[in-house]
Amino acid sequence: MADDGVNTKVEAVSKATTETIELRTEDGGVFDVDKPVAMEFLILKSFYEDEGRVFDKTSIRLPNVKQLELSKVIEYCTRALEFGAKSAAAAGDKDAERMVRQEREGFEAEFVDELSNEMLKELILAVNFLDIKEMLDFLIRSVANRIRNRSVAYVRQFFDIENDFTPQEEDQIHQENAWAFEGVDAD
Amino acid sequence: MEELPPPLIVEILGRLADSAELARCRLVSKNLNALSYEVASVHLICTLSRYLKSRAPETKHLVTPFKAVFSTLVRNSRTLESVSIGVDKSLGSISYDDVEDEFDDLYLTDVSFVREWLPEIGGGLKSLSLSDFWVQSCWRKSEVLSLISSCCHTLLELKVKNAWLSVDGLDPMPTLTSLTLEFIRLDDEDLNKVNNCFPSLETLNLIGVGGLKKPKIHLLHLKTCHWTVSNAPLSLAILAPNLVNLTLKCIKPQSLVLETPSLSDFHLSLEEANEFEVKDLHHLKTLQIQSVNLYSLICMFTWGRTVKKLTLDSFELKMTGFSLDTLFDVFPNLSHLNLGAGGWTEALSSFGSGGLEGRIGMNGLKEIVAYLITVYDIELTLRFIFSILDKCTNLSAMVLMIYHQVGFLTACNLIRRCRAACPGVRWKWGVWKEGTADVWVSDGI
Repeated sequence: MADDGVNTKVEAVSKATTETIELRTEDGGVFDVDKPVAMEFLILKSFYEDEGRVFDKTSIRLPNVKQLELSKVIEYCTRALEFGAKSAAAAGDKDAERMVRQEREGFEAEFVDELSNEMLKELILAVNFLDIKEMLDFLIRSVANRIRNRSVAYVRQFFDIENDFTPQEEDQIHQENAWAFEGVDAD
Repeated sequence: MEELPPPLIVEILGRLADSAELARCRLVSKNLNALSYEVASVHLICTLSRYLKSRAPETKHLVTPFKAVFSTLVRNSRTLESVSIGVDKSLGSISYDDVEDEFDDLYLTDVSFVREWLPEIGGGLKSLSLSDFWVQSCWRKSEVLSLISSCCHTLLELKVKNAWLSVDGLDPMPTLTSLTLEFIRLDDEDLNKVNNCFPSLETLNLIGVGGLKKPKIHLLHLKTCHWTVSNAPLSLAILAPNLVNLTLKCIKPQSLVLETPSLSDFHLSLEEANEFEVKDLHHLKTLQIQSVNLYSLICMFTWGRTVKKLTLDSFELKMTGFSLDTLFDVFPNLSHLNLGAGGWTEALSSFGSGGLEGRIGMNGLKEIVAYLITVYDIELTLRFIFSILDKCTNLSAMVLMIYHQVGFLTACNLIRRCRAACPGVRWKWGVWKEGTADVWVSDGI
């Protein structure tokens, strides 16, 4: 596979023998997704497997997901499957395992660097809806990394939360948690 | 812009590094304040600055006692799955002589302290970590293991560091799969209690555990083991039929017995052992050895045939006689070889006195990484390298790490000539120095 990464655009690379599912987003996007990637979306997996539906070519509409998010999700999940396969192939060989891990970390760092705070939150909501455990875990970790050691004001802005404390209430909370502010230098 | 649903916010809050960060988030909003108590873990570290402030006369009244902070955190959390309390690593360097206190404010394996909070949360706890303050714990024997075993019936992972532990009253903990003891004085000479009370362990880390006499690790389900032991024990034994990964660092035990038939990845650091009994290792793929007596050690190995990746670390070697011939005899199926400076020097001098001549080649060998300490005789070095390449016809990559004191020009010259003579091989080189990370100078083409 070419190492310029998976196409971030619509069509996942479809080989003649790979089945695809057509997914439609709420803002009119249409995606042909390889079955293995689509089955990472537990919401789809249960739709097909648990409900015993036949895998056919009907198009599925995803009401809570937009084009931009879905294309990012497909990109991540496709690479995640690749890394999974590489990892399995390297099993038992510590050096090879480490290389796969580093490659994956490099990809994830780049992937998340390109996301604005807004996009990160939208992605979390989409991935939560689609029920993709691994990707959700990755996004949650990324958000935690973004808000660590940041000011209260930054965290408010990130989550788009209003300060609903009165000044006295704020003082009280500060008091209760004074230990957390006690001479903790930015270690 | 929708706010994230509460369970996701709790997940995010739970990924913050420690409880101090989490507590600071409480000021963000009423919702975040409430949700912060849903996080299922408490992770509290006493930093060096906190320690110093609690001792300095002008600031000590401003500092909330560490144990009180922790107890409050635990009490206010709704459910807890993971608890970790400790002192920062930097406090480990505080010398016992510098401190004149008999305080116990940071004595964390103190049973009376742990009894204040553990029983209430023990039922649901999956992971527990106590990293004590050596200055206050090393002279106080703690029965905290007994308390933990009676309160925590679903514990999966336990870590205790920097303490003196008794095994009196320790009850079996059949759910525990991972145990780490670091810098511990353990009153369990032969590890009997450990073996009997933690029968389901899959991971065991004993790093700097003292108080052992004839320790024997005997665990049916053990898969990964890291054991670093001083020269005090008389004998060492590991009986673990499912052990796959083993890192063992010891000095000169009188006897060393390994019954680990499933071992695949073995990292051994050993000076010498009078009786070294290793039952055949038919699945060994990766082997790393650190020893001054490399030659006599590897001659004892009868199970080198399956090894694909071999790393021989040595700065210097005691005995001569080491040559690549011996190496290839013991390990005929290598695909990767990493040869430390001592090994290279010995092998080079062995070659100088006539080696590798009639030897059948090592066709499986694909890559060699070699650490060179001098290039005093560049012609000999080159002849040696070329003769290796002759014998190892499938060698596609050679990495030469050159000691930092060798002149840069000499090193460049060496590489240039290697590249010129064998352009089909991928050459990579760099500079090494003890105690620092290797520095790459060039990547292969």
